[in-house]
Amino acid sequence: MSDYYALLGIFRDATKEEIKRAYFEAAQRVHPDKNEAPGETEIFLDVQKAYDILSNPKKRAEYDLSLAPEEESSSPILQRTFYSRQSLVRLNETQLIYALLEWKPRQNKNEVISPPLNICLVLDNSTSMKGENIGMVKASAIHLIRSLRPEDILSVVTFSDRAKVLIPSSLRPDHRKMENKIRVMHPSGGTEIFQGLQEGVAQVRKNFSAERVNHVILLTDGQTYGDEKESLELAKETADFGIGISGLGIGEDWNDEFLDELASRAGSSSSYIANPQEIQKFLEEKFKQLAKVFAENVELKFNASPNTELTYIYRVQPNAAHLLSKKTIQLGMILRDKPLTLLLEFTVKSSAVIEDEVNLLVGSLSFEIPSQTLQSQPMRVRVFREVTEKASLEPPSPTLVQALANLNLFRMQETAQKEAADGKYNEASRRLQHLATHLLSHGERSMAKTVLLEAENLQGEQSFSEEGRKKIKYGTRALLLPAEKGKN
Amino acid sequence: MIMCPACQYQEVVGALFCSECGAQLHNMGSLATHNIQTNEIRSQSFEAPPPERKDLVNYQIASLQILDGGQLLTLANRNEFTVGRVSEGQTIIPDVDLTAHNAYEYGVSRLHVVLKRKEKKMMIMDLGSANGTYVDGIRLKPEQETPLSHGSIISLGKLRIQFLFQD
Repeated sequence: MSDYYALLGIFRDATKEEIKRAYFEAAQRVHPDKNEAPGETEIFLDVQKAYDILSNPKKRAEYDLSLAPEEESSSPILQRTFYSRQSLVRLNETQLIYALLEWKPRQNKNEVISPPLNICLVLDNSTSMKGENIGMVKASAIHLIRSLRPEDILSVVTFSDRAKVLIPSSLRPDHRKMENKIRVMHPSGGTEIFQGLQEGVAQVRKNFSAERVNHVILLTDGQTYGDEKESLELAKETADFGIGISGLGIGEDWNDEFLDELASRAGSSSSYIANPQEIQKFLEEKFKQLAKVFAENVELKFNASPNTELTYIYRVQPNAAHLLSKKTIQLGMILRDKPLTLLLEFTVKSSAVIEDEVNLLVGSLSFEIPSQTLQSQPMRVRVFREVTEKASLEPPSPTLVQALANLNLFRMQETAQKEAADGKYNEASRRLQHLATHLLSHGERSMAKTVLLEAENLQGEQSFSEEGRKKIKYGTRALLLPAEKGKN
Repeated sequence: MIMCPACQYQEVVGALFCSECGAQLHNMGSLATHNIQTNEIRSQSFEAPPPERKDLVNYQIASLQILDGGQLLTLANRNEFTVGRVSEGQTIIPDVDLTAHNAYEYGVSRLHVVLKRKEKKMMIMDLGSANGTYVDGIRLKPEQETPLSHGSIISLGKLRIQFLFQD
């Protein structure tokens, strides 16, 4: 007897909706009207039969008993879920529940080899980079070239109003020659990110290979004008191709929203470099992170369950970022030594808790592992809770509370920024004062000071200062990163 | 709906933090004062009790014992606790509220100290309190972490607390 689940391409614990959707898709694909190839009609009949059995709970239960037990899960990735509550409560009003999802390699971190890198540095070479910025960029780039392993590929593209391939992607690089090329960089002209990004992506694609970590690092200190839309589309295409993008912004003048959106489409995030002395540190951290990649192109696909809504989704690590809740979320990478952690907020309507169990999110996680040549099978992701009459008294998971406490601060500044943008300066200012109090109690004195200063700015000037705004955003974001544990 | 104790904002059931003022909403369960056979303890008059009260103290978790009264406050389920007292119009509520222990009269600040778990140790840090913090008679510098040991006497202003912790 054939495996109907495999035939429809669904998991054995598939929901009714998933079975239905898979059936429609399969039926359309192999419908006799469209397919004349011999054998297709038989497949179509099988699909019909599969649906007939699986869509009927009684028949499905009987069929499940006849199936051989599924092979012991051998997925290379382990999954853990923490919840803010043991159960949902049968209430006549809307309720919230939080879940923390964690994925990490099954293998011991020491057993995994570092995949070779295929990275392009896309460097802003506009007039504004003159002086200390370009000096530090050159020094950092040279430092990186010296730390490359023979199997790594590094290309460099510079851009101002036009892009130039300074160091082409090559399998047999001459490191001395590369260093000399970096030394002669001379900033001039405006900032047009799209051209630089396009050229950078082309360089990575030239030697693209699934066994490598393929990534573009964009470093800029300015705003790009008029080509944001093209750049974002390019980022999406790049991600679909399996290449990640990270953004590093120096100083006050770059557009953090744009760079964040760009990088988040390609599974990463942007970082704020407050002063040029930190350029080298950030670039090196990025490289170190990429050398620790275990899985990349990690994507979460899911379907919203009726009556519940995923209202907030935040990647705690790596590359902390507020992600947009879409049907397919590009999550980026899973590192060897740190789990990929997501914090989710679900809003559950009263109409959902009529059932005894509520599916908050049902979907799958797909990923690519550079060190393994075989394509990995997607993993089942199911976030669900049973419904009880009374609230359980068990306290929420401390890991989750800790993450939420910090996310709470990040969200306060997000709301304050939104209020300021809407002209509600008093509300925004008051919220910042609350935020400052919380920061103080966390022992974050200097950030609390920055926040209070901005609260005053909002009252007086009716606007944030660019520097303060970025400091608060990236500062509260950094709070969310779990403290480094001694070794690692 | 649930109401935020700090700003009276109506929050959705299940929220752990107030979306309006950011105050922590959920009850951490064991953070409330534990009154463990206080009659018995009170009837004995002691200066500083010996820390070996195995019948009362769960040594897996850290506890604070108020020396003037004998109540035991258990610090559980998290790694960081702010200690202070609640006053009207205050937006931030300390994790451990000492109001009931005459904190105001003894000179405890609203956010006086923070206790942090670091690996196997507990650290204490004064948050710039008005009357200062003393550990075993030595005044702490504000904003600097100092390790605590089992049996240490912490003075928040004039309120004396014994720290109990063993793993």
